[in-house]
Amino acid sequence: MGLLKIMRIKTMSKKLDKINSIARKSGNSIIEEAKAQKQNRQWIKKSRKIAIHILSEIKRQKPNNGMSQKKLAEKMDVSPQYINKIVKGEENLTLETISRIEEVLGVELFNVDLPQSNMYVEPYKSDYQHITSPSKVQDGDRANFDNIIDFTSYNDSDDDKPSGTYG
Amino acid sequence: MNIVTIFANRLYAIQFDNESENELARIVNMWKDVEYLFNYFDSNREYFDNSYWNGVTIEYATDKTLELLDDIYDTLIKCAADNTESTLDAIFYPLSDNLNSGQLILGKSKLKKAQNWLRFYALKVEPNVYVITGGAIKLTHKMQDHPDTTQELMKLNKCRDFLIQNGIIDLDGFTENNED
Repeated sequence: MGLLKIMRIKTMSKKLDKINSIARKSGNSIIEEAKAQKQNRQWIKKSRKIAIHILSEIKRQKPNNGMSQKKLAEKMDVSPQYINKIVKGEENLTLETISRIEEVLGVELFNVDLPQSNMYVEPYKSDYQHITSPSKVQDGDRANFDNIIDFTSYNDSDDDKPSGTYG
Repeated sequence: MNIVTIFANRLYAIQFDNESENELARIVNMWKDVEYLFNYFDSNREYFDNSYWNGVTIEYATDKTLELLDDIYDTLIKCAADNTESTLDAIFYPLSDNLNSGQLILGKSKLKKAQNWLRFYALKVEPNVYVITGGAIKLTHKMQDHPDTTQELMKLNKCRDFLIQNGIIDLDGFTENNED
């Protein structure tokens, strides 16, 4: 190892020693904060977007109706400090609070779309189908009368009434 | 001013006398505040009217900045866990490419992402050892073109003097030490 390299290593260690001798410990709070933020990132993202929307809407409405964080708080019957906390973007808002803000500001902050079912429902085919349309009746077709239920013969007191939902 | 340890033997941050937090914590707390960001971009709208910003809205700039902050959080977590050499050298790079000057190389942290306007400024003590001196939302190409980044240049120089006075860095041996 060359002399220059040894001198360089000694100088480098000396600098690190020097900085460590005067540096204070931070307690790693920034790392703990980063980890906590990462763990809660999904709802914090939503809270931030809601905060941006609220700030944007207040700014938009202010010239017309004097809207402000304070006025929003008054209309919601909450403290201005709470509204200020919301617009900081790290508040875990309840659906009720979001709805109340939406009502006061007259905007939609949060939208949940219903899922669209992909299940195919086959159209109902009755046993009558092949005899109801005269054009489909062909010679030799005979209705299966065993399965036909004659509703006209039933009344409410009849114990033999078939089960089912009566609309 | 004082020096605060973030990652031992690797990352430090300056804490100025009139501040209750070190520069890394102070700036992160600033950038995570939606109201602060919204008002900041609102009051700096004049800087958006150029080809770089392409007329982005205040809302978009605020939302995007918060996304960039999440990247910073992830980077900090990764750096805390990864104690191998060159972790910080990979994310800080020279503010000035004038390597042959007697000036100290002043570094900045820049995530490799399109439209990343968040900056941490730092002084390089030795390979993979940095002292954060401040940070800013960079709205202009040159630091001198906006008062916030101009102030960061002044802070860098002030912190450099502090580190020299305390024998942490020196001008004489700098060029030799950075010929690695």
